[in-house]
Amino acid sequence: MAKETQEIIESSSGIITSTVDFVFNWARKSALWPMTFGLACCAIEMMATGASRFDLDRFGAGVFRPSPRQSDLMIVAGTPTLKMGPVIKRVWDQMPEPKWCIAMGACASTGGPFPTYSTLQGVDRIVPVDVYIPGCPPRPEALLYGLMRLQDKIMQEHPTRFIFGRGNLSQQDVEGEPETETAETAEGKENGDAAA
Amino acid sequence: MKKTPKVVNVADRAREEASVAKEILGPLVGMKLTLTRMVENMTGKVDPTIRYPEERRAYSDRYRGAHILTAREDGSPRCVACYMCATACPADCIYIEPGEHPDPLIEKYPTRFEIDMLRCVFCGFCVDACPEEAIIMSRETEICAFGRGETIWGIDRLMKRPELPEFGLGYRPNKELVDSRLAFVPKEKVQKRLAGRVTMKEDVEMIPHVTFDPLKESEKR
Repeated sequence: MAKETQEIIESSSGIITSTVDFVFNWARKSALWPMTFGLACCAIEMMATGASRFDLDRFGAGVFRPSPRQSDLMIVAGTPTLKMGPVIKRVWDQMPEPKWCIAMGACASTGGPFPTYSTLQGVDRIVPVDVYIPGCPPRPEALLYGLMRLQDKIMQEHPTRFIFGRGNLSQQDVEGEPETETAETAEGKENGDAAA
Repeated sequence: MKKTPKVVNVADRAREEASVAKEILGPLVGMKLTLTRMVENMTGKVDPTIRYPEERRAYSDRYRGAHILTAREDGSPRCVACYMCATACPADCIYIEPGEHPDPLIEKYPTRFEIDMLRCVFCGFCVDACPEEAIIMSRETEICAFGRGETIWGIDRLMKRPELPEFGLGYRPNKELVDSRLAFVPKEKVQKRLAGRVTMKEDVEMIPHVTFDPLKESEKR
């Protein structure tokens, strides 16, 4: 791509992308469909969150999907054993992008009180986790709080970068970097491309 | 004499008791209940939902949430690094490094005291084990992290709790803290966080809520 065109896109894309980004992110965060997926006692608390008292539907996240192909969010609720590990991985791989993962409770986050031969020491060893929620099990409020933090995180993403040729930044590239830094890294990447 | 049990054939009995009126009225009785509940829900007579970020359920006074390290009069941690809590912990989430205290009466103090909130199972054994009332629990549940490192709370985080007035004290050996006090952050920050944030939904309360205002508590002293 010529440098001028690139500059034009750069200068104009700020307005367009930020607006489109906002719409995309808003749509994504307002309809997080979780997987119907419970491994142990945390799942009971997850069900309680979905029920009328706490009503996960108020966040647009109450539509528990029985198929990974239709879901955006994997709430790993419960103790992931080593035997369950490959299954979790497969379910995660079957979910279409964009997808997010919440490790709910001590066991899913770190292994909790089971530092044993049979327990996976944190589900982040097999899938990338976006939000960790402590608790054993976490109260429905804690899960809702974690979900709201995940929504905040989704709002920080830049889904239109791919369209405007800024490279398909993965979730990990985007997250954790302030706005000013992402612009620099994007430039750096382009310079690197030009040099190559 | 041995009693012979009465044998009931359920299918026969159902056949005997069956009637047209029952067949028609039965579902209607059920429908009445369903419709009543529907109307009650729609008119707002029954409203079980706690609208969480704005409303919150009142927790018990003995609720086991995130830990608090209590302080001495001078603001240093009350902990004497005796390892009782770390030994009692079923999840091995407490890490302590002791140091020698200048005061010969105190012997030890923790140079590092870390609790991995993600590994913690909030069982309260550490509070039970503590001989010094140095570790108590709050009613704070809203902890979540984007990474595993964020949830390892050191001494500072465990002692200075800006969000405490929002939640209140939880499981602790004495209702009123006897020997220890709490370390707080400045008042202004507390008020800012509290502004328009929480209303308790009192009608869903199951256990009487004990209101706790740490600022007033500290003024008392």
